[in-house]
Amino acid sequence: MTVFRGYLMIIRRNCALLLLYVGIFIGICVMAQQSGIGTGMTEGFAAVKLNVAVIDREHGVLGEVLRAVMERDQNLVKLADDSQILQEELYYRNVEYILVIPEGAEQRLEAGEEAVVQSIMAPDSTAGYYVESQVQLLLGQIRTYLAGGFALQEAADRALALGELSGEVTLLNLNGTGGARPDYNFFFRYLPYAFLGAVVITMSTVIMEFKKKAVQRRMLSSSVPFIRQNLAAVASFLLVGGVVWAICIALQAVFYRGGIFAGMHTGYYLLNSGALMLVALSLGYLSGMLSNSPAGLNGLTNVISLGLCFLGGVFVPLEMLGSKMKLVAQFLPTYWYSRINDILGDYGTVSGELSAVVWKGILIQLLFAAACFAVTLAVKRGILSMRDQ
Amino acid sequence: MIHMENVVKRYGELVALDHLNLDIREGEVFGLLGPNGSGKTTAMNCLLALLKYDKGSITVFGQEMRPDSYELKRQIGVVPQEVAVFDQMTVQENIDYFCGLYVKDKTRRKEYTEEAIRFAGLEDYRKMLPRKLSGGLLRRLNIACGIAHQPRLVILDEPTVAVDPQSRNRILEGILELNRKGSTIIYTSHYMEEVEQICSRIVILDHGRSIASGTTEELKRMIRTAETILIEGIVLSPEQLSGIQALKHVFQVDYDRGTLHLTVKCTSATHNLIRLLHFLEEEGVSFGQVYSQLPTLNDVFLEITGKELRD
Repeated sequence: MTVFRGYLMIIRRNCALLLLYVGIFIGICVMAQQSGIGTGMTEGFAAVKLNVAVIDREHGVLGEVLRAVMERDQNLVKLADDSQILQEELYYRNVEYILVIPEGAEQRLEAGEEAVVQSIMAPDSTAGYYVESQVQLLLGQIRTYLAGGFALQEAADRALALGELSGEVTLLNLNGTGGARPDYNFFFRYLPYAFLGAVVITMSTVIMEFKKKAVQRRMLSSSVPFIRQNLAAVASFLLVGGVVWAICIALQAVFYRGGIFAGMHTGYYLLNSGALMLVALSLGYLSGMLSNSPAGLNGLTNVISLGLCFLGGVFVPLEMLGSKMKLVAQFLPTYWYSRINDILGDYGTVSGELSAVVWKGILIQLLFAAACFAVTLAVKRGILSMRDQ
Repeated sequence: MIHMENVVKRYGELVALDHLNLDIREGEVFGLLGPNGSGKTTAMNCLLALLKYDKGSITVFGQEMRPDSYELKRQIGVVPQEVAVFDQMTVQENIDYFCGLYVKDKTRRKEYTEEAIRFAGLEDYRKMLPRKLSGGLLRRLNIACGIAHQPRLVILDEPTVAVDPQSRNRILEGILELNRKGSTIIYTSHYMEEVEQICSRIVILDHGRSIASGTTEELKRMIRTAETILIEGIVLSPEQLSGIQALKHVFQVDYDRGTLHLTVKCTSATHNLIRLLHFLEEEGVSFGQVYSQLPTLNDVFLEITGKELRD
C-alpha cells in the first residue's frame, strides 16, 4: 500500500501537466469542431466565380454559346479588343482568363480541327485551367453532336443545355444520422493524441523517479517484495488511466448532449477507447524505463505520441495514407483504433464482418499493450542485472 | 549477529570479494575501511542480498540472508552512498514513505517519521523538496530515510561523501546516538578519521580481501610505526642523515631536499623525539616546526599494502 501511495503522491505532483494536456486537447477539439459546423468546412467546397472576358471576332453561333456559358458560370467582364488593354487587365488580374474566338473558328470546328479558339490566362493562374477545361468540354460536346449529324446551331444549343442538367443526391442512411458521422465521433477520432500525449509523458516521468538506481536499491533492500512493488505500480497506473479515461468519456457526454450514451455503439466506443488507454499506459511505462534524462524522455514521448497519431490515421484520415504506409500502420494500435472509430461513425449496425474487424482491432490493441508491458518488465530486469555486473 | 564466511564475488575476471570473512557483533559500531574500489559496497550489497555472490555464506541474525528474507530486511536500515530520495516528494513525505515500507501502523509511522526528522535536524525543512536542500541537508535526509523505522541493524555506505564539516560532525554524532539507542551499525568509508572516531571495531579491505581487523589500537599495534616525527625547514648533510638513521628505534628516514622536510619513523619506545632533538643540537643543525604524530589507520594501510588509503 505504501508503494501504491508513493506512486499516487508523485502522480499528484504531475497532475497539472496531465490535466493541462487533456484540457488543451479537449478545448481545441471542441472549438475546432464548433467553428467548423455550418461554415462550409464540413460541407465541402464553396463555389466561386472567376472574372473572364470573351473577345468574339467572328460573331457567330459558337461565340454566342461560349459567351452564354461564361455568363452562366463565371463573371463576364466586357473588354475592348485591344492587345495592350488585354495585357494590362491580365497583368493586374482584373480578369483571370480571356477567351478569343477568331474568325473562321466555326469552320475549323466543323472541319474537326483541334485548335478552334485561343485562350490567355493570368500568369500562374490555377483557376484559369478550370475555365479552359470547361471551354474544351463544351467544344468537345459540340463536336460530338456535329459528328452525330446535327447542325451547328442545334449542336451548340444541345451542348449548352447539357451543362444545365442537375440531379438530386441522397446519402444512404447507413448509420441513422443521414449519412453524416455523429459529432462525438470527431472527439473520439482525436482522443488518442490526448491519451498518448498526456498519459505517456506523465507516467514516464513518474517511472523515472522510481527507477533511479539509488532509490531502487533502497526499495529492494526494504521488506516489501519486488513483485508487490511492481503490482503497486501497475495498480496506480490503472487507477490514473481509469480516471483520465472516465473524465474524457464524461466530457464528451456533456459536450455532445449525451454523446455515445445517447447514440449507438456505446459499448464499442468504451471498449475501443479503454483499450487505447491501456496502450498509452503501457507505452508510458516503457518509455519511462527506457529514458535516462528528462530531455531524452521528452523526445521519446513526442516521437511516440506524434508518430503513432500520424501513422495511425488520427491526424490524417486512413484513406489518405499510401498503401505501403497502411501496411506499416497495421502494426500500430492507433491504426486499429482509428479504423474501429471510422466503422462506428459510418455504420448504424455493426455485425458480421464489421463486428469481426472491431473485435480484432480491440484485441490487437490489448495485445500491443501486453507486449509493451512484457518488454518493460524485461527491460527492468535487464537494468537490474546490468547493475549486478 | 552477522556472519560472512568465505564470500567470493566476481565480475567477470575481476574478483570484487576474495574469500571475505566478517563477524559483526550486536551493539557495536563496525567500520569497513578501504580505498575506493576495495569492495566495501559490494560486500554490503551481498549482505543485503541485492547481489548474488559466487561462493560462501552470509547469515544475519542467525538466519541465511536471501533476496526474499523480508522479515530480516524489516530489521535492517540502509543508507546508500548516493542520495536515494524522491525529488518530487517533500522531506517529510520522503521519510514517511520509506518508513512506510517497514512500518504498517499509521500512528507508529507518524511518530517514527517525526522522530527521524528531529534526529536529522530537518524540522525547518519538512515541507521542502529535496532539490531546495544543501548537500549536507540532503545527506541528512538520506540518513533519516534509512533509519526512520528504527532498525536493529543500520548499514551506512559512505554517508559523509561531499558533506561540509558541520554536517559531517552532526552525522557522526547521530550515528553514535543511534548506537546508544541499541542499533548495531555497519559503517563503510574511505575516511580513516571518521572510522577511527566512531567505530569500535574495524576491518580494513583491499582488493576484496580483509587485510587487517581489530580495534583502532589493535590495528595500530600491528605495525612497526609507533611515532612519526616531522621537522620542517631543516638542512641536512648525507652524514647527518646517516646519523639519524643510526639512532635507536628509528627504522625509516625520509628527507625532501626540495621542501626541506624530514620525516622520521620510529618503533614503539619512549623519548624518540628527545633523542632526535638532542642529536640535532649536537650537530648544530637549525630547524623550523617540529611535529610528533601517533600512527593513523592510514599508516596501518600504508605499511600493510605499500600504498595510501586515498591512492
